Amino acid sequence: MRPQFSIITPVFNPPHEAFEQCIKSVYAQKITDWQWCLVDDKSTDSYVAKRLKELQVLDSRIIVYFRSENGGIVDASNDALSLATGEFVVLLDNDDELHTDALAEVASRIELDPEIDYIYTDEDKITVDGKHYDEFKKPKWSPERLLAHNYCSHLSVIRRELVNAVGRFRRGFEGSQDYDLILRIVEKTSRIAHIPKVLYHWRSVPGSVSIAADEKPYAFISATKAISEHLSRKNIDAEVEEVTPYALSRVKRRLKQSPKIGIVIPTCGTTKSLFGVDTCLVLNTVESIERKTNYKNFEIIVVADAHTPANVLSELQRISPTNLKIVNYEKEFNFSDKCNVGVVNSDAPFIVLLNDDTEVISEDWLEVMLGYMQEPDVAAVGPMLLLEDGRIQSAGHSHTPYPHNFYNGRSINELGELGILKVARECTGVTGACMMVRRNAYFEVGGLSKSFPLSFNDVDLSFKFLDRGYRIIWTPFARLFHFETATRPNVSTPQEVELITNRWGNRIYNDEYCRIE
Amino acid sequence: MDSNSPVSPETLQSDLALELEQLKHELQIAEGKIMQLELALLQSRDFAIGAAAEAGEAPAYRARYVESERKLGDANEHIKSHLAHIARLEQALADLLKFEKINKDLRTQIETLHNSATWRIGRKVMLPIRIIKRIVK
Repeated sequence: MRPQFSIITPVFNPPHEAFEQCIKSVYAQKITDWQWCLVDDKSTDSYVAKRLKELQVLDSRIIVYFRSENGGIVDASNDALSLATGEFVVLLDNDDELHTDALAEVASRIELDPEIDYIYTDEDKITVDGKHYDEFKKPKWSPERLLAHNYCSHLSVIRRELVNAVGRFRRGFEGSQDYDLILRIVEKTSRIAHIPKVLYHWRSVPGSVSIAADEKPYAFISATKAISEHLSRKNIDAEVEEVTPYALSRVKRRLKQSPKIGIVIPTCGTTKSLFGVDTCLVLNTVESIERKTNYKNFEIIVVADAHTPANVLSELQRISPTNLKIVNYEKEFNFSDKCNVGVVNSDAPFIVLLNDDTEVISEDWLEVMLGYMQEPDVAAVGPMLLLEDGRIQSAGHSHTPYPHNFYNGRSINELGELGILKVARECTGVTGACMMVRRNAYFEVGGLSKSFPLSFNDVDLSFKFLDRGYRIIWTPFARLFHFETATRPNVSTPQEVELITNRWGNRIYNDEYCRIE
Repeated sequence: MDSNSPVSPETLQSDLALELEQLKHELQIAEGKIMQLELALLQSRDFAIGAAAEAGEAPAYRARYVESERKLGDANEHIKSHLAHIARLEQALADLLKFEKINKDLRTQIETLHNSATWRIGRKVMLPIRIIKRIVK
């Protein structure tokens, strides 16, 4: 049975042409048994009342309420909710447009899974003269990203019963009242779906947040307040900081405990030129850990090949006299196996798999990554990795259109599509060059697969985590250098390519977290 | 020595130290075994999960295979119609070449005719008549 929709629109002095386009878009819906609840918030433009009265007289599906005084967007939206009788409410602003298929697509999705409580879709922006731009290809449900900005936003369709249960829109959150509502909704349900199609066109009129997030600073203040309250309701001890100048938020978690972290570094003691100086990579890595890391409770497990020079091993012990454990690896080279040997030699509940061609940049890199691990469904966290020249080496994995390190070779100063490089977010995977993993989860999925001795072992591990229902987080707030392929050429064997495709081919070619090419 | 006779503290200490060493050694071996078992466990779990993932991918592969078959069918149809089109073009080209040859033969015949004594005499005989015709016009 098809769900009934109530479209909720508070109205206050909209631009005439934009409002007419909005009306046209509702009438153009392929589904026709909708209900439209419009509340005029005491518009001063006489055209509004005239047009609303016309609509009300001409169409019984349209319910209009005229407020006796201007109460602001929250009160007007709540009044509109009071008029609604549909099973789902559809949030539509008075100057935006719905795609013709919007309600039909949402209805089909609900028919597939009638238990769904909240659906959001892709969106784009539309100019006053109707030109579309800035298509936002959103990720699948991504709770960490929602803490950085209201990426769900438009189109949002929510079960009405749930909207009422969480207390509808709240005063004091004007400008981000929908963000606050969504945050409260997602606390109550996990039945959330994303439709990867642009079904909403957000009008960019002067003063609208769609033009620039900083057009409404009060909206950002409300957003910060909404996030803080959400965190406190979820018992997450954190502070919310602004990622300037982008009007994005950073949730900085405070650590409840300081568990031991095992840092596993496979090596053969290679020396390469770094910043123009011949450098023993593993010594450089360990030295940077010892010198820069704020977090104290860690151990370093160096898994060294048999031909690792003895002077390197003795120098390692000098650099890290108390935290270091050297494990000899006598077998034929297999990166995955070397890492696994390192992991079983540590009893730490959290492990960092770290290449020997890395160097710590952020002093709080371990605290930042550990912060996300406090949520038990997070199995892995990866940092921002930079090349020697400061460009990005990896901002997590992306598989669109093929497996690669996201934003590889691009400038660190880029914002990325809709701030993607400046926010912590769920992703399909993070590179094994630096990956914090939960020990239990690592064991649960069988660790790094020996079947991938050179490449794709991190891709495989990430998919194994996702397959078990874990989340993987990438964060820009922990940074390291990764002098990529300084130790060995970046090659994969035909067998590895075949195996990774056989195991995860369908998921690789449908990366739901990263749809940007 | 009688088993009930007292053992000197030094001997006891030395025995205990030996025992401790022995235990430490055994512990080391046990830890090594545990690690080997943990590695084997990792490998075994990876194998099981990998096999399950491959099995899970199979329907998608089948769908891709069916889709590829369809595309191959379409491509074969496309090739067939291309080949037919090429055959038509070749036929048209052959026809054109044939016409061209006929044309060429005719042109040669006309040239031969123009160069013949009969034609030249005829033109000379007809010259006054052509001049009169032009004047009249």
